[in-house]
Amino acid sequence: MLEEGRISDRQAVYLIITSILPTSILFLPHMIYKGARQDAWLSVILITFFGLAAGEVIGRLARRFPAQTIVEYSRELVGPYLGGAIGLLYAGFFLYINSFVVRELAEMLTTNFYEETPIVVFVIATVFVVVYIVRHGLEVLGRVNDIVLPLILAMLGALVLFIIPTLKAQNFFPVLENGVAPVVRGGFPAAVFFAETFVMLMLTPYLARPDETRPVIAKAVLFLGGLQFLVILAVIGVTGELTANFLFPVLDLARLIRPSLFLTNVDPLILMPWILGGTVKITVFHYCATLAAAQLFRLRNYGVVAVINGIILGVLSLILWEDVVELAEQIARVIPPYFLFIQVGIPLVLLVIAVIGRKGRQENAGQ
Amino acid sequence: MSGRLKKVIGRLFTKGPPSGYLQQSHDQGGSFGPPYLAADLDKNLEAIFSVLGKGPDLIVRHLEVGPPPKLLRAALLYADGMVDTELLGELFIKPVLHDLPRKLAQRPGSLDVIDVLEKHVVAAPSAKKAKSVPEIVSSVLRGDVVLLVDSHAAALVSSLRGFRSRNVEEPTLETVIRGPKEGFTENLRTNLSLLRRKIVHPGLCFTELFIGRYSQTRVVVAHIAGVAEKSLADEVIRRVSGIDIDGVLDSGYIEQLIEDAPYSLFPTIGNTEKPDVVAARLLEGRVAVLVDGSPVALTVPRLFYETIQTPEDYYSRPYNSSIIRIIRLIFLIASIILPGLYVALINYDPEAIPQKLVFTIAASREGVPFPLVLEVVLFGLIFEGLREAGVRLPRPVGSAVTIVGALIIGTAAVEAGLASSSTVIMTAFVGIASFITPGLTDVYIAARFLLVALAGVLGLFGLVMGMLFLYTHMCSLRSFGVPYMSPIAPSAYPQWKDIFVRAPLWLLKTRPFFITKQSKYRMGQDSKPERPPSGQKERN
Repeated sequence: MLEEGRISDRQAVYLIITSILPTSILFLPHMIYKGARQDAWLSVILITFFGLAAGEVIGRLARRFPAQTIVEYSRELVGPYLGGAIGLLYAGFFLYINSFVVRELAEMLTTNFYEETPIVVFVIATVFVVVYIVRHGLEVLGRVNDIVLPLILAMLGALVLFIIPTLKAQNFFPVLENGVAPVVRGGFPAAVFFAETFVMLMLTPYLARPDETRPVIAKAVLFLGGLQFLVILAVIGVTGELTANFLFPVLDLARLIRPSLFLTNVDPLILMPWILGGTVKITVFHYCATLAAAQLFRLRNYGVVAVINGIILGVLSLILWEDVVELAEQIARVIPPYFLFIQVGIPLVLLVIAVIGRKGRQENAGQ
Repeated sequence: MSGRLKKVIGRLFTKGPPSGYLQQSHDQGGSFGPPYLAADLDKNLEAIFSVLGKGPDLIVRHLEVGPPPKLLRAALLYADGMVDTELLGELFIKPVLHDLPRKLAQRPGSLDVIDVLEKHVVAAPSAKKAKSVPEIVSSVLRGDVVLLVDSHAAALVSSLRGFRSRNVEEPTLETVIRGPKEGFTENLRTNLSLLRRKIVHPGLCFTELFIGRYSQTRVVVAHIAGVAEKSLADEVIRRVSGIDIDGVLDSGYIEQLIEDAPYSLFPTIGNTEKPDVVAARLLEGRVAVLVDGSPVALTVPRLFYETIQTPEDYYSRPYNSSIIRIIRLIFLIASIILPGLYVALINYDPEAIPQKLVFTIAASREGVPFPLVLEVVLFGLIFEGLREAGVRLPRPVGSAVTIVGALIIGTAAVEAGLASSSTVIMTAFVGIASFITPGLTDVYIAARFLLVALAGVLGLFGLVMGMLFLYTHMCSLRSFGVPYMSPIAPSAYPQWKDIFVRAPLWLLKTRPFFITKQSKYRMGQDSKPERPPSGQKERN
């Protein structure tokens, strides 16, 4: 067995939240607002439902194959060659999507805090720590996240609390000014984030109770949806029209806070839980990438793969994009259909094949 | 209990080299002579002397015993200084010389003198027969009295040990204001009796092992059957009996040879000088290891949260204990990350510090020749040096040196412009903070300097990455199968009431489940104190 450790349901929920929250909070407000304007909060509700639907597909697959990852059961479902190709696709995709995240984090650091430090420094440092955590296995990753997530949430809670006095209700009106279309348009790129629950395609067999995958995803998505909703409300309520101009509105919110206690500028402090969360997110994806590659090549141990993947990850994140503008452009405009196809489309196809071919464990009629 | 003991001892003797003194004595002694006694006194003495030699501390007293017509030669052996001679005369020699002839005369048929001695004559509390030379040799070495009788292929071994040892005193390291003040001594028997007095239940099991090729140190593994996991106790016994070393001079030897993470900065085995602490941990399902000659007992598994606990937390009411625990935790974290945070904020993000403070710090750093990182590291080292000097020097001089060091060097350095006053304050604070939780002494200096270096290079980002690295390491540790950070991570929220705070005793109904699943509840369901019925009228 590649991975000996098991994580509890709660830890799985936490891991999913951490693997979505840090970047979704940073990027989504700007992204959704550009499409949906003051109705962005409606988009959030929309994508929450989408996230639940995606979770349903992943959860049903998990019920049929509770002891296998997608790399393993795709071979069973569509034959060794096509299945191997799907495995390879996922092994590569986890790396690819992760390189976005690494670059996002690094760009966030250089553009906002460390203007003079070359980006490669952050990439190397992040990848080093990520590989270190991955090599300790899933259990340790779950434990690390058990503290990191509450830290992020506490920080976020404090942020929203401080913001409340500056909310302006008129920023939300008029509702549905241009009909429903903008709401969908704004939600579409954001759906990628809520479909990131697809990490469970790799993690299901390592849950203490693999059958719980569906409720685990549902809990995580609902929590994230609620949180995202609050953050969007705060962002729109405070910055209104200006939201479209800020790349990282939440950071700008943090700058608006003048707690007036004794600190003059809190954003470097807000940075700390953020780096923690971002790194854990990258670690979750890197873990999935590493596990997928190790299973693809039927290795007995993934320690070396973690390192090799780490090097690839670092290089990819450095060479794929020229600058942060190109990065943001790709996230918002180019990738969503492709990513959604891999995150939800392929699992859906596999599920249909499994249902038709009566593969995997059969579900009872009542369930 | 005795079944377990037999099993363990059986394992010791059959397993071969690692331990079990019989085997080992052969290993290093070589010429151990015939293993069993012969029916001839001279031969037996010769066999014993060939192993023991005739050192100045080996006392051999020749006697003649039995009713007058057929007197038997006998020899009494013991090590000088290890036997209570007064008791020896009163309870052993006197009965042998006076009572034995009478007793033998009463039963003319009986020829086995040793048997009669054991059952009817010797007044010492313990007396048993021994038949092998190695057994006799090790008995003498341990301070027992051995009586050999001619034409008997057996000897009588009686334990009349009496040697000087320290009294039960208040421990120097773990002092309490409220609660039991007695501490362990170097004498294992005393220590075991201290434990037995606290836990009277027959479930308290002691498993005896002898570790050390030359020192043959008595090591006792203690647990409470029905509370501790049997597998845990067995694992401890397995690890301890696997130790093969020439001598065990302190429990520290055992600790370092059985710990889970020998490379880690973090200690995974707990230690204490207080019997009440050991008793509390045994009741939580832990296992303790006591070593003869060491006043420090080991307890496993040791988890991170034990660092911020003291026994006193439970002896006084919960409010103060809870606040103090949070303070300990804050100071613990501060002691590790504050220097790094200081460097990161001043070097990279001064805007996060209140404005007035930035100006004060900047002003105090005016004219300091070193870069900030170097300044912090330098003063950190000076503080640690002064501290070490304070510990090593004789007590009255030590405090003087520390005061001189702290006051004079600190003030003078600031006045001379060698260091900024803020750095000196920070260093002193961090140093003092680390005294609050002495359990992590190994960690503080190394972790602190690691974080300062990272913060110096990468600012807050470096600091956070360093913390994540350290924290991951802590999460990856295990102590005897229990994750080191539990119940913090993996989080078990119901247990947090006894981790970050100390909830009222009547709320702490369950034992920590991550240590033992044997018996869930440690108190009755309705232990909350009830107000008396309010029928009574106030008396005026």
